Amino acid sequence: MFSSLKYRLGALLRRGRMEAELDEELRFHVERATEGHIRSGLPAEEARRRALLDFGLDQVKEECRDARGVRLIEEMAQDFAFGARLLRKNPGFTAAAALSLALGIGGNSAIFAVVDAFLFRASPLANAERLVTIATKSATVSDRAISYPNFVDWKRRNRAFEEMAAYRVTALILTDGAGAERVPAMQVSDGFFELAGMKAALGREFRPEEERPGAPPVAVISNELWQGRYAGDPGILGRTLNLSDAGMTTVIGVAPPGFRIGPRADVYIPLDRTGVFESRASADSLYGMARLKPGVTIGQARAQMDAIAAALAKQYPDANQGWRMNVTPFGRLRDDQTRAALLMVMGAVAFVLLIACVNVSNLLLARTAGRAHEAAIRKSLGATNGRLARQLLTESVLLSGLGGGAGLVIAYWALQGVLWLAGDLSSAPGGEPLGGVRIDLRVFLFTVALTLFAGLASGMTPAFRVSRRSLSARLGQGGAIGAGRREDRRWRDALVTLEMALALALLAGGGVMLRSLHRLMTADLGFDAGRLLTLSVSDATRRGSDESGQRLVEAIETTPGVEAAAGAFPLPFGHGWSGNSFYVEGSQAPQNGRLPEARVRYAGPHYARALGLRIEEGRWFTAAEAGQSAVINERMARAFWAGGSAVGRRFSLGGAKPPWITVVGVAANTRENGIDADLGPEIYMPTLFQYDIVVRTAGSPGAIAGAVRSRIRSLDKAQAVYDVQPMTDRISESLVPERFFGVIVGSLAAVALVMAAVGLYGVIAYSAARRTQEVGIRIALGAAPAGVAALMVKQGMKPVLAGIALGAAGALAATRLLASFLFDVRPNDPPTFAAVCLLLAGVALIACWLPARRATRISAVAALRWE
Amino acid sequence: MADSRLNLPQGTLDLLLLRTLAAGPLHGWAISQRIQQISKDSVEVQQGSLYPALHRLERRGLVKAEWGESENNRRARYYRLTREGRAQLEVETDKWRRLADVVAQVLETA
Repeated sequence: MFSSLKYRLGALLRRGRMEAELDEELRFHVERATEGHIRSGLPAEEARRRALLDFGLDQVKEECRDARGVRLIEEMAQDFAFGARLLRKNPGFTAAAALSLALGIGGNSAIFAVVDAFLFRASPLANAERLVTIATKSATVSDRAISYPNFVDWKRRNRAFEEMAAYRVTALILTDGAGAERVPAMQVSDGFFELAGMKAALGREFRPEEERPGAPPVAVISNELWQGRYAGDPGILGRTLNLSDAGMTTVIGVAPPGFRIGPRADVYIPLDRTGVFESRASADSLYGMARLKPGVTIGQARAQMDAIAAALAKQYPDANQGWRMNVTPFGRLRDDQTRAALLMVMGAVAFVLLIACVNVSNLLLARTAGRAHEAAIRKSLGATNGRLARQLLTESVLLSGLGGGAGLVIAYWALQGVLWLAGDLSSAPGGEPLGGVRIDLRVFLFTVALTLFAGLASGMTPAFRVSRRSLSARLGQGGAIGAGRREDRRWRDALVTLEMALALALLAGGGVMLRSLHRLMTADLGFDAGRLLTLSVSDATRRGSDESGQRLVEAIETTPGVEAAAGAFPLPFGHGWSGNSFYVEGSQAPQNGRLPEARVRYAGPHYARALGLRIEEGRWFTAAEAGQSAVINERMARAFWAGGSAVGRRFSLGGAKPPWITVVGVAANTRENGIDADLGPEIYMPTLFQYDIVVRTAGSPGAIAGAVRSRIRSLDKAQAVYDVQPMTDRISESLVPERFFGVIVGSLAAVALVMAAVGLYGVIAYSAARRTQEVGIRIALGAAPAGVAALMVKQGMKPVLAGIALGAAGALAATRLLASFLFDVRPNDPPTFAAVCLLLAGVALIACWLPARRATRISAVAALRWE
Repeated sequence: MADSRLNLPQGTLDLLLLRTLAAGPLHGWAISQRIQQISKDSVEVQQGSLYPALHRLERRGLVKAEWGESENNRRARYYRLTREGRAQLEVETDKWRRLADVVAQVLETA
């Protein structure tokens, strides 16, 4: 076995010497045979002829080469050398084809890097393949947090996990000599650090008893906070920090650098499971984390957890009815909408690669048609069909190899662009993937696989065609005009049709998404978002009073450059949510007992002025009317006081009983909840104090932020001021997902358009060049050059139009999948479809017309001399 | 082939070559002569098929080739049985005998 391998390796490496030795050995044989014939009386010349004839020298040589067992590799090496020579000889073709593939492969690798990080890759934590996240879901909500009482029951009843912990993402106000600051924090249960594989770099982790209510508060801080705020002081252990909620807290440990398991946290404290968290129905931001027992699959764990959840739902129907378990590999994206969008982008970018493959396929096909003569000669010299096909596949794999290499570079830059577009990944659903998003080994291997696929895919059709052309037709007819030509054209047209269909589908998808994005960005918000600053305040006690709130807002309002300020909860385009059921006084109580729901916004007396709300009827409320008066939006007024005025009428919140609240005004509908949020009934309730404040400024809101901040600090040093942001930034951030997916799909569509155009141009130019003779004859016989060009354009456009029709039909079906990503645009938006069809047809027309015109400009004489 | 000489059954050429080389190293021409001689011209060995077969044996490590001086003082490629080749010859010979016996037996009794 080994000796055979050594022999073959020698055969490959010392090919020249082996050939020489073979020659010598066989010559020796022929000479001896010749001598024999001479001895038996033949003349020398005849003797040699006989000896050679008996022996069949060339045949024997071939068989001896076969006997070395390296023929396949040798031929591949030959094919590679030949292919490389050909590619070098046609730098224009090579560059165009390789660039097409590079764009396709690079784009796919870049998108794969993102999709892999969010959806497929295991997290870099120890035992990651056995770590799972435990959340809940329902028929309508794909991912929801859990409640502590449920967590305790799951932990007690399951047999699938060897360890289970829970964590809550939160923020704390840290107050010390340097002032008050809001820091990202995490409350963690017993066993959490062990599960996450965290060993304190300094000090220790939590002990089980430290989680018990009433235990002295302790905290583990991040290395980053330790270095940044405490300059890496080793005396940090044992120091007490003034933290909101927790109180005076002793630092007992420092996490290793870079440690996180989700969103960044600077302070870890034991899980709070008292107060509201005792409710089984609470689902704030608590999530479970668990490690599967060895040998238990995630499917088994899921089944077991679902059984437990079903039992609990029966036991506690009020809190648990309708909620199922959502057990996913740890670190995996759980948001269905984003997952669908990512997969959609993956599909779109795959289209681009397909277009590139079809492109290269068609260019190769055109070239093999031109090389038919060469193929015929090689065949008549004994090359098999398989050998010819292999030669072509080798060429296309070489091309895709070039493309893949360049594709890696493109992938790197494309990924930078994608990440830039995504903005702050920590605000992505589920936070930034652990281990980051970059071109790693997995992405590299994916690229290699894709390169091979692209090479084979683009070489398939030409290889198939070349092995199908009949030998006689080729040699007999000068290689230019043959029986296979019409069939070649059919193949070429089929590929053009496919390419155009793919391009159109992408254009249609990108078109509707960009149109939707445009609608989002230009939508009427119902308020004036320019010159509006938003900020949040909080102190460690978190006990704001109306009086202190009023003082704060007044202080802000008297800051030079501020026109109005008001507390607001939730902030427009903020993360908060507040809603309640309401009952319209005197209306029919609903039979099923379910009252209609409205969003409830708590707002200061200057809120309408600060935001620039349009009051359609009545007036805004004053500071004195808290709890008695409200303003409602138009939608609510129309729906519940149809036909009459809502002003002066009354409703109640939370049940059909007093206290009654009087409607004093009706405001125009706004999009404060987000541009694409469904418009529903909204109620503005008066309040004096809120943690969140909107500020109407006279000039640029960014310029005044510093003044407002120092004004608050000078009034109350204990207030942490955070999330100071112009409203336009908030709105822009709220559109990040739409912009991200819209711009990516739009860019892919643009690349597809260019690729399709370049591909079509290449194919038409090649066939025009090959038809120069025919064109020349036509013109010599009196045809008008313009007429000949028109004929060529007509022939070129036929498959294009077929492709557009096919693509439009496909896109009509496919864009329906986009419906949930679109705002104010139907997935089959007719103007968009018409525009992209015209665009593609126009670009294709130019791509056909340019080479056709050039072909007809060559004088008839020159054309006739062509070959 | 119109004459009465036998065509070699598949795979027997290797056996003949190994057997021929058992006596000592020979070059290709000599091997072809020897086979003709011993088989008294009753077997048709295509001259051309000899070399690919020898090269295959070489690849399998059953024979080893070296350049040497021929009887008329010319460079020739000599093939020599290796230890593996000798062992293979025994195995093959035994197999062949058994096969021949079985075939003969069947032909006699059937």
